[in-house]
Amino acid sequence: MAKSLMIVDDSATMRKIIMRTVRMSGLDIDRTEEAGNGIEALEKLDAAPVDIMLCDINMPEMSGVELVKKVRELPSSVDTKIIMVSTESSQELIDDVIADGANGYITKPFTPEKFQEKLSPFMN
Amino acid sequence: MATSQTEVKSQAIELSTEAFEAFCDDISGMFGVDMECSRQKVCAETIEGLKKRFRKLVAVNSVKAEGALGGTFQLVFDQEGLFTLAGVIVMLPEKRILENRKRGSAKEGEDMSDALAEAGNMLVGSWDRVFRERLDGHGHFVQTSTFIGNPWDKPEEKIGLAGDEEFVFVPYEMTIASYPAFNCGVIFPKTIFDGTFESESEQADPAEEEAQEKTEEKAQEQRVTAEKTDSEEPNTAPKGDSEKTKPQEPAVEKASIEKPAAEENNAEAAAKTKSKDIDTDVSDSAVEEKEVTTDGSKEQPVSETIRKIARSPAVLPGEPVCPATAENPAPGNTSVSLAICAKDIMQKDVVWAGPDDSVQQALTKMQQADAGFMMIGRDEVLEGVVSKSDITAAVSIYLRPVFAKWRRPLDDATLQIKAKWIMSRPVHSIKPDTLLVAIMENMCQLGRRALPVVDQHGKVQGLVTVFDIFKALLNSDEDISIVGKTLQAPALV
Repeated sequence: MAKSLMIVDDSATMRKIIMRTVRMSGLDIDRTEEAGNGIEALEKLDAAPVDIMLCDINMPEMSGVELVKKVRELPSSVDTKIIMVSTESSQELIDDVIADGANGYITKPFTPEKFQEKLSPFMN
Repeated sequence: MATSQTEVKSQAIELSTEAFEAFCDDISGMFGVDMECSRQKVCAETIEGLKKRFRKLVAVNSVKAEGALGGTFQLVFDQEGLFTLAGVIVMLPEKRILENRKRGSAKEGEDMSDALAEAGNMLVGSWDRVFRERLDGHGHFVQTSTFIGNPWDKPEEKIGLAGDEEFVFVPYEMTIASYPAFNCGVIFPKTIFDGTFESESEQADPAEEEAQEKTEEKAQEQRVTAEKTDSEEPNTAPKGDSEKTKPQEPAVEKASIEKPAAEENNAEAAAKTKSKDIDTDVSDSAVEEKEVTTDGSKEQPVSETIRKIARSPAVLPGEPVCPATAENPAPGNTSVSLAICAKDIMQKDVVWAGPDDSVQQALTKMQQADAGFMMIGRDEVLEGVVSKSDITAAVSIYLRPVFAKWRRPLDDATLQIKAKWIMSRPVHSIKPDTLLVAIMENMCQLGRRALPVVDQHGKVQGLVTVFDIFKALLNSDEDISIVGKTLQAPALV
C-alpha cells in the first residue's frame, strides 16, 4: 500500500537529494511533503499526518531530536514512523533519538538501497 | 605513551588522503558518479602562495577539530572544483557545469551555497569517520562555516587564517565523472598539531573518570552511613538476619556495603532496575533482566511481604482481626490485601492488536502505550496474549541499535512476523471478582506474569500483571520503602 512521506531538512538541496534517492529506491510513495524546519513540519503534520517522516538532526531553531519529541505528542502522528537522516553517526546519539521516539536512523552518505532496507519494514 | 607533535602531523597528513578518498567513495555511492583524488606534494604555504594556487573564487569549509588535533583547519576547493561538485549534487546539465567552471562568478557560487554546504557537511562527515577510526585521541570534527568567494584579501576575517602565518598545505587533484581535474586541499595551521595527547591505554576517558570518582565517593558515603547506622542500632540482630528482618531498610544500600566500588555500581544499577519494576509496570523483558541480575537479598522486601501474607490469616472486611502477639505479630495491614479483587488492581487500558498485525506494529503500539503485554484478538474476543519478551525472542537481535552496523534486510524481515505466530495460547483469564490470593496462586501455577480479566460475557475488562500485585501490596504495607528512581527502558529497535 502506498505511503505518504515528509522530508524535514533545513537544506533545500538535501531535501531534493533525499527525494530523488527515495524515488530511486522504488518504494511505493504516493504523497510527499517537505519542511525546512521543525515548526513548518509540525504545522504540516497537524494539517495532514504522514506515514513516514525523514528528519535531519542538526537544524536551526528546532533540532531533529526536539522535533521527534514534539511529533510524538501530536495525537494525529502517533503512528508516524520517524527515520533520522544525518552525517552524525555516534552510537550514543542514535540511541538517544531512538529512545526519544524515532523508529530508525540513516547515516549519510546514503544510497537508494539503504532507503529500501530501512523503510521497507514500514511499508506494509 | 605520549604522542609527539611530529607524529600527529604525519598521521594527519596520511589520514587526509584516506579522508578525501572516503569522501570520493561517498559521493560516488550517493550520486552514481566516478570520483577520484590523488595527493600532490605536501608543502609549507602562506596566504600569498594559496592565493596564487587558488585564484579569486574558492569554497572553503572551516572545520573545528577537538582531540588529537586541536583548533580549526580548512578544506579548500578551487573554482572548477566548487562548481563541479555543486553541479553534480544538484544535477545541473553538463554544459552548465562546464560553463560555470570557466566563467562562474561569485554570485553564481553563492547560488550554489546550499549545495556546497551539504557537500561540506558530507566532506566533514567522511573526515570525521576516518579520523575516528584511525587516529588515537581523535575527538570530533565539526563544520563551522562554508565560505564562497575571495578570502585572500582578509583571510583572518573570512576564513580564520592569519595572514602572516605559515601553514602545512596538503594539496590534491580530484576528478568527478568525465569533467577535467580540479584542485583542492587541506590547510593545517601549525598550531593544530600542538595538542599532544596520551594514548588510549594510558588516558582514561574523563567521563569515566568522573563516574568512577562519583561511584567511589558514593560508596564511601554509604560505608560511613552503614557504620553510623550499625553504631546507632546496637540492638539489631546479627547482620545476616537483620537484612531479612528489616524490610524498611533500603535493600540496595545494605547489599552494597563492603563491596568494591565497581561491584557496588553493578548492584546499584540492578537495584535501580528493580525499583523501577516495583514502581511502574515495565516490560516483561526487563523482568527477565532483573531475574538474571538480582540476588536473593535484593528481592527481600517484597518476598518477605508475600511470606507475611501467606502466614497471615485471611480476614475479610467486617471480620474481627486477631490481636497481635509476640509469636504472631501484626503484619502491617496485609489482611486488607486479601480482600482486594482483580477489578481493584487491574489495568483498564489494555493494548490490542489483530492476529495478523506484524511484530513491528505490535511493538510500536506497546511502546507508545508503555505496556508490557498486548491482547491479540478481533472484536474484543481474546485469542492470545503477547508480551514484550515474546517479541524480543521473535525479532533479530541485530535490530538493536548497538548492533546496527551488522543489520541486514533479513533481520528487518523478522519485524514482519505476525502476532498470531508468537502469541501465548490458550489464554488463561480471571474474573473481575477473583481475589488477590487466587490471582497469585494462578500466576504461580501457570507460570504467567499477567492474566487478562474477562467478564461473564467473555469481554476483556482489563489486565493484572505481577507489578499490579506488587503495587497493591506496597500500598497496603507501609513498612516497605522504595529507593532509586525509575530508568528509561532501552529501545528494542
